[in-house]
Amino acid sequence: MHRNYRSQLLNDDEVASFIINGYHIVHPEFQTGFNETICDNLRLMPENPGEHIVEALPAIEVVLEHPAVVGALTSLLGLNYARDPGGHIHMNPPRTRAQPWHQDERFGRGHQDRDIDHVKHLMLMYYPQDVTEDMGPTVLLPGSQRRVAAPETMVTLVNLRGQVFSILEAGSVLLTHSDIWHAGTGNRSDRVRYMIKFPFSRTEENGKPSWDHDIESIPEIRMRLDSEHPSTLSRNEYETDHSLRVRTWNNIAGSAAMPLRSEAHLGGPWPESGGSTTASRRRRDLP
Amino acid sequence: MNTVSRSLRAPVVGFAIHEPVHSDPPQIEVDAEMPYETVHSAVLDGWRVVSFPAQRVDGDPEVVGVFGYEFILEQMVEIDA
Repeated sequence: MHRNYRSQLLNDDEVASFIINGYHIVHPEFQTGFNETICDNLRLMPENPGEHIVEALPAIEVVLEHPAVVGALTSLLGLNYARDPGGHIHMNPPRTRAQPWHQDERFGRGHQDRDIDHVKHLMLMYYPQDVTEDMGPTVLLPGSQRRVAAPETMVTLVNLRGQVFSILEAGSVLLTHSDIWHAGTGNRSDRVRYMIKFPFSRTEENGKPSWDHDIESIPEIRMRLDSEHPSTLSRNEYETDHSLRVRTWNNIAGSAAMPLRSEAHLGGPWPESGGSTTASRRRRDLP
Repeated sequence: MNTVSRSLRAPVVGFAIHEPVHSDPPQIEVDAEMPYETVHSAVLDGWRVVSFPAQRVDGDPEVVGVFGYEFILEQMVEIDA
């Protein structure tokens, strides 16, 4: 592990953003020409090496060992995180169609067996070339890592409110919660889009935050976990999703856990004439 | 259209348009915008609701489930063949 990663740990705000949205983007600085070399090597590969990526492309270790990448992985999965077997080189050639929305399956686990209130598994996606909007960027649905849905319920879904696309510069590393809803989109350009994906796992629970934690930031983090919603939620979902976000923080924060119940959400202004009949900050005014 | 509740006035959170011709399936698009804010707005614009979402049974209160409630709408438009 690179010894300089400690200066590149995530802070409380970045960890809260990951909990809320389910992804984090790292921008490691590589030597000039590194990403181009990776692309050249990928083009020369006679076939997809399957999960034997490091053996087929030893230079990829530079990405996996980069202090910015190690710092982010340590922050989200703990000090002794591990790279799992598996991984895949995605090659999206010109004129493809989008994948359907899906959650990645993990061997031996059913669709209901998801980490809805924890960060136990991550996917690392490295993009060795610029990804423009017409090159089939990966699409994510922020916050969807907390949803438990059978694959057949996703097949009619196409464009969703809040969907975000990995339109990124060469060398960017996208870290996602393993259960986030995602898809590769259609490549409408005349260029091949590569992405190299590796799975990582937590090996032990944290006794304390494994990121750059400042106890003074807890009130602000609590406010974000209470109030930020990456997607439009129903009444039923609102309370559950809020609880899952706080529980996720508590499950990875160890000694920096916070009370599950918030005292702030019942306060606020009195209702105005013509508006909702509740003063609650909860979304009780939705149809 | 997918909405956050079974109400016609609920916010739309997803959509797909299937033209009644031989064509590729609808695609996830970078620049996609919701065509209507509610199903009610679509009805005002001439769409008919042909299928309403079923009432869900109470599920696990600890779980956030599928994305939205699904309405199916249709609109008949005369075109030059």
